[in-house]
Amino acid sequence: MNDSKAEKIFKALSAVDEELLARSEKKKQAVTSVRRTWEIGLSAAAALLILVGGVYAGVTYRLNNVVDSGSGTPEMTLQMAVATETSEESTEECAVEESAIEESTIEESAVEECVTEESTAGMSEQDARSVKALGEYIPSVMPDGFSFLNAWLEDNVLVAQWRKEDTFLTMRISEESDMTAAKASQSFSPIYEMEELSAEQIPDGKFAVRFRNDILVEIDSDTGKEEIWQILCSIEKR
Amino acid sequence: MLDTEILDLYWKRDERAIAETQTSYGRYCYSIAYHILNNKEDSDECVNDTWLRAWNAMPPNRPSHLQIFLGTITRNLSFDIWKKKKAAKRGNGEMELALDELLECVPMAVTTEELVEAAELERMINTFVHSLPERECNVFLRRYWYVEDCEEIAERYDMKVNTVKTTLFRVRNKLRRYLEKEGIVL
Repeated sequence: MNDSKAEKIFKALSAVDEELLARSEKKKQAVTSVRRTWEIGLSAAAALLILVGGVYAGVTYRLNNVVDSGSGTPEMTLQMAVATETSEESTEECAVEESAIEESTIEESAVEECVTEESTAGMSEQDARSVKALGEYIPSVMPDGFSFLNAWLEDNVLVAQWRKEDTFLTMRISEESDMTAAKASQSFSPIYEMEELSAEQIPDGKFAVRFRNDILVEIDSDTGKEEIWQILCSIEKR
Repeated sequence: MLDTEILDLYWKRDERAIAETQTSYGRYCYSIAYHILNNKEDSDECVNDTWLRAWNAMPPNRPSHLQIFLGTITRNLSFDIWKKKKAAKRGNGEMELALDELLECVPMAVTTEELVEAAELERMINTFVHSLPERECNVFLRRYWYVEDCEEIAERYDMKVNTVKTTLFRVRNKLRRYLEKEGIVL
């Protein structure tokens, strides 16, 4: 009864839509792990290549010095010493380079994390429209009462949301040929061809529509069929 | 057993419904209770109470997500137990508990306004959570609905613990700004 402010919010969270809670149950999709494995593999290969290159350069330099200086002269001993030193230096350089690569890999992954963070941090409707290849599928006209809420990029899928009072409309736009996006959108329900679809055929619940250029637009909303049809037509006309 | 089959058992008033629910969702509900209560006995009790509540609620209810339906009951029951235990600790015993029990005698009319406010807050929070990008929304719900710690959330979504913390910090700030903007005073 005498709930603290935090307890009030905790309690209010009990009424969060079941769909969101069900969605949060899903673990991270494997596609990202595969991508990370590739990235780690490529970074390791690049580091190895530079290491081998560095050692090769050091050895070549040393051999050249030996050949050039002949043998048995005091100069040779000096040059051998210099060559050895240079070789050691170059090995050290390699080590430095290697650690630089490691650092840059770490930094890159940190940056990537930031970029991912940024990409899911939300964008304006205008920004969403300017997303290459996908933005043009943001409807130009929304039915009365719908206002834009948020949009973001998620594994090459452009997600946009609108709201009309207590009704939400979520649109997920992706290129069908994009494997990452296709994986991310594997929850797709039935897919309809836009050319063959009519207002009466709009199903209840989540479904997807294939537009020209194999762009998939997934619609998830409890709003009326007429309104959804209006939205789809607005995309088609563009 | 499929959810629809379990639901059918409830609707037929077949007591096997409870055993099947325990098999399918016992661990899930226990996990929710334990995250809130951090105590085995209390969590077990809470899960058993969940089955009783579910039995009384179905019919007339036929939830579309049985798992979440049960989880919500567990969460609410766990929260009530947590509050009682907190009150008992604060008052060092019976006095707080006695007062807490007496509060149950207070006529509901007194709390009508509170109920309206609570319903409004629920609506606002739901709208807010809907407006979040999927990842932020998931992290926020795992922390404040399921009461999971940052390490568990990081493991679930293959994220760094610091990223989880940063995300939560950002979402809390967003929520504060949103509630301020909507004129919600708690």
